[in-house]
Amino acid sequence: MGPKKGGQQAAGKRKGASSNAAGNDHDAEQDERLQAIVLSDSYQTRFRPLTLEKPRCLLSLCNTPLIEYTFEFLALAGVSEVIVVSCAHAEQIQEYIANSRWSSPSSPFTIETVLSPESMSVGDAMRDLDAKGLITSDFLLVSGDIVCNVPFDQVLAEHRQRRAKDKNAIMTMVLREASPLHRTRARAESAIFVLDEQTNQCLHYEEIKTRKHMKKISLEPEIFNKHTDLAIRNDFIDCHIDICSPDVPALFTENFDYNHIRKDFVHGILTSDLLGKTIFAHVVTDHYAARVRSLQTYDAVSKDVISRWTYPITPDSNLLADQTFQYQRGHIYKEDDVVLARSCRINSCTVIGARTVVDDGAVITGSVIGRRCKIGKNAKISGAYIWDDVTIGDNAVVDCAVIGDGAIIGESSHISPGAIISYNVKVGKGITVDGNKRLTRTEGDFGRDTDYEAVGTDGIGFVYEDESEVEEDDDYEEIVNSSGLIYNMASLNQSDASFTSSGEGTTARKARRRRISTASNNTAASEESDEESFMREAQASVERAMTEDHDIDIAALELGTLRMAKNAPFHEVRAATITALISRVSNLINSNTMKARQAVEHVLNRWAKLFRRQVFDLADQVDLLLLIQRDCTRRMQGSAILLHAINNLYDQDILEESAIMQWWYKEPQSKGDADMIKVGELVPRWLEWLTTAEEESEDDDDE
Amino acid sequence: MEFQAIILCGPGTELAPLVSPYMTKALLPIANRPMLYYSLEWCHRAGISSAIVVSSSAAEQAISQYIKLEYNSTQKAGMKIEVVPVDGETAFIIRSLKDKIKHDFILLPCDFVTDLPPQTVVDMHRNQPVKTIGSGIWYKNTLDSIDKKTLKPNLTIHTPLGKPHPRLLDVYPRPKGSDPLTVRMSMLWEHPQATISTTVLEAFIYLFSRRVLDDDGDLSSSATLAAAAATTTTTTAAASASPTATSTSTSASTDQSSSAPTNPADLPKWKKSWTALVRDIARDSWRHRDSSSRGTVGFYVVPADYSFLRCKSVSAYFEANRLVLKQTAYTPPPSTATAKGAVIGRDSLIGIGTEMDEKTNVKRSIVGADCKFGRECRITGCVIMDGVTVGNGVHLDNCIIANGVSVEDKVRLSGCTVEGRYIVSMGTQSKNEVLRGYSAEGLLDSDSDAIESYDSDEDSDEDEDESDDDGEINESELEQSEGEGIEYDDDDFFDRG
Repeated sequence: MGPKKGGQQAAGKRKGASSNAAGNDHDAEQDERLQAIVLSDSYQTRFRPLTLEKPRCLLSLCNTPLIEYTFEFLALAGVSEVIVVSCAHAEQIQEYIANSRWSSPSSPFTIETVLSPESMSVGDAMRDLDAKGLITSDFLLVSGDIVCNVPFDQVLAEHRQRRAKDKNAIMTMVLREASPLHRTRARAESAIFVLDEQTNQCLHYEEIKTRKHMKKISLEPEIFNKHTDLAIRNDFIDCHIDICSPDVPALFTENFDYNHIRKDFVHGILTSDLLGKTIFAHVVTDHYAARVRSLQTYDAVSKDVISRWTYPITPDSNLLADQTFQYQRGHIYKEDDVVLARSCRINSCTVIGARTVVDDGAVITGSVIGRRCKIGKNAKISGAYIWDDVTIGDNAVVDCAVIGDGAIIGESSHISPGAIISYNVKVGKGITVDGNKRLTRTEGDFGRDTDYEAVGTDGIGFVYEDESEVEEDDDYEEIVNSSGLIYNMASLNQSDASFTSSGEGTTARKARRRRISTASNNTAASEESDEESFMREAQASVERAMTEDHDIDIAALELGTLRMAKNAPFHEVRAATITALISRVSNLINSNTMKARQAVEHVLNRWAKLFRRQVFDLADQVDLLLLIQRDCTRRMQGSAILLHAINNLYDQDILEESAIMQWWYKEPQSKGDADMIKVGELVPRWLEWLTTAEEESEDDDDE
Repeated sequence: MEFQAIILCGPGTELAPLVSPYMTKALLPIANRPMLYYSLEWCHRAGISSAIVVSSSAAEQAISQYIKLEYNSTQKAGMKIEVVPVDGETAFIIRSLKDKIKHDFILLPCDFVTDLPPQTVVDMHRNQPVKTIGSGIWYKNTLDSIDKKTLKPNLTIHTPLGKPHPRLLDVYPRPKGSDPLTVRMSMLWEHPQATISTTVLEAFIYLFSRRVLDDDGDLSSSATLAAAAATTTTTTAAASASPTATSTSTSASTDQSSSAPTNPADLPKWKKSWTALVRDIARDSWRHRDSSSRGTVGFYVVPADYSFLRCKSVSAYFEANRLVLKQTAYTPPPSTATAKGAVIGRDSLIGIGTEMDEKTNVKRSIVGADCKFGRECRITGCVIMDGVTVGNGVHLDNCIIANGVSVEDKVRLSGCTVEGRYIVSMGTQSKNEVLRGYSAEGLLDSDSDAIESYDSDEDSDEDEDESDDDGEINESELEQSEGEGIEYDDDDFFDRG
């Protein structure tokens, strides 16, 4: 109840503020203006290393920055006020917008950039917006990477009609119908929607984890009592184009564990009986809508733009003021001042920017070439995305790769399908770059030197590895699957087979998920039950609390909310907390920051208070002990951690003597297997101390 | 292409007390004609020339008699009708009729009433793609007056009706309590647009290709796999596993020329309810790696402009009478009935030989043959069967009075159902009750009990009804086939990728 109350207060404040600011009738306001929130950040790392230097929304798609497509769509939709929320590379976005035609007096809408530098997710951004009180009426929520030509009048009219009838219809999602394996349907982010056939009310949302391993979806029986005909749809492309009521940011504030707009927010609203809010879908059967959220979709959307599926948004509509594209037969788009040698060949579906020079004998097929590029003699380019100022050496071959601004590909080099060459990388002569390589010059956190093996002795750049990201992102397995330009089905199949042959238990899988950084599809296999998702979320919540040093009350509250939302038993809350705390302890020890005792004290002195709201009686204490013991079995120095943890919790009066006695002497599980016995090897001595109540434990060494 | 009709005459225990050992369901009159008449007539209008009427062995005699003596004599064009007694599950019945089924066939219940032209259904089936092995008909209940408890719609999953040639994909019983319904992903990859209908009811009219009877066909590999396992077990074990099937097959085996060492009719496929069998065919159409070559099941819902109902409860039976009454053109009552100045509304139907005394008023009612009404009776919205005697000053309102009931003077009944040969004693006043049993005194004491026990009867009897399979997809069976499905799913996807 706590967070809810707070949220309502916040909502109340927000409303007050908005009515003061606007100073007119709420309904009239709704009819006149349409706000749009553009989330310029994707909160993902799939485009790395390209996005290390530039935000995703400024990446060039068919020689036009992605965000232009979004603005064009908003202009067509009749939006009158655009708020761009930016986080990573905010200054670049601000600068871009300030210099664009959208900031000019002739712009169809007013534009404003809002910095939200702390936000790590869509949820954070929404909470930030709610706190800033910028939203006054129903608004359009889009990301800065959509390409869409759906006329919006009808969608909006339907939404408003529903809202007029029912204030609880807080959101309308725009979904495009396509085939389930459509190329612009992002493999990892597709989902199954269950809609009421008559009203299009969304009743169930289920993310498809990884295509292969979800065998079935479960539908709650209540929906069958309330609705007669339900459409289960696996053929929607969900571009995250939503019309939201101002309740949506407020709900994000109320539920601070909501991060993702779909799998947290939509799922949360649909599964919550308390809120009583409803979400609707608008199904688009014709027109185009796609979101560039992975390199595969980047590839697919580029092709769609070139083949004019997105009309009127095509290269020859020259979205930017200085563009001079002209359409030629066979979907070839050329700007002015392109220099083509007599003997070069430009095949169909190609875009070439201004002042690019293509030398004799070069062959370009189905590719996008930026401005001021130099394509050497007899170079072969097919299906590639080459941005501005790139030099391709003579006889080089570029096949289905992305080449960033200013990169240089040496003579006779071969760039294999799927490779990414980031900004200003120089690939030497005669080098073959594998399809799974990503070359960059941006060092990021680790200072690194040129990897001459990858780029050649005369090259500059090194191989980018996204290991560091893995730990932070819960969905990393999906990133692995979806980040490649080429969706490597063969390798996926292989790992599928390896999964089915290894019959791991869920706990083992979960343990590995956090620790193994090499990309393995095995973890993706988990068909996530509610229980598991609770464990994951709860664990993440405690971890977040520790890293961001939250107030203990807030952390406890968050856990409590989560527990109620998922209806999880306390046992699982304890398990999640234990896992998070011990893994923190373990990290401190493994990184040689502290010794075992010190680490345990450091973590538990502050955070063990969480257990006060999780452990209520003797049985709970025994359960807690078992959980600690079990968790310690898979840690380095587990026995030491166990010992000090028990000691510390005993000192903090969270564990009572009788519980410890019962756990050690009576609970069969405490000596259930070899691991459990081994990890408990130090316990008897401590018990001895406990019983004799002597102060010897001070001298216990840490090993 | 010709069709053969197979009309299943169930015992109709849910229609108690109207159906009794003396009155089988198929012959229960709707608007003064036996139920079976409407099914036969529907087939006749569809241009079907050969029909098999399947009844329980107990009811066979009465039904053959009706067909021989009454139905055939009233019909001009000849439709060959054969009455076959078989006891058992629907699928078993169909299997045991294999040698009699020469063409594609239409499976019908005997208890439906509709104004849907049969030709639309036949055309629908004929227009199905080649792969369709059969089509089924479903309907939505539009009448509020039918007891909701007796309608137990399953969760029927099909491709959207807006698309050409909707198909049946799966059938699940409504999940109990808070159990979630699980929908398989393999279906959603094969059919990304699927609809779960919670209200459609099985009309139990199926048009099937004769192929479905071929045991060695590729109908359902899971079934044949299981069959292979079954054949390896000793025949005695198989026999003991299915005592009902074997005991009944002795009566049916005389019709069967197939004298293979293991009786194909013992295949597990044929031991299921028909609904489960159809569901398995539908499931096999998307579940397997070679599913594209498998037969599919067409899905047809009776359009909203037509009425369709099945007499699966007393309230539905009552509505069926009204529906038929509405459809039939007004026929003036036989002269005997109008004697002595009784008033019979033009919205009523009166049987031959019925007599009415002075000032008796009949409105919106169906009265059977050979009834006798006294003076100053008021009959409104009633169904009165043959040979009922009504005394003087009786008011009947929305009642069903079965054959041979005697209603004494000054009785006032409203919304009551009276069992055959019951004697409603003088001055009885009742509302919404079921009057049954032969002793009036005993009943009046236990009125409420009678209603309750009647309800619970209905529930327990549901499963025994041979043609009404709606409630019969049992959980364990679903579980089992689910398990099989998973294995196939896996193979499926590795291949597809």
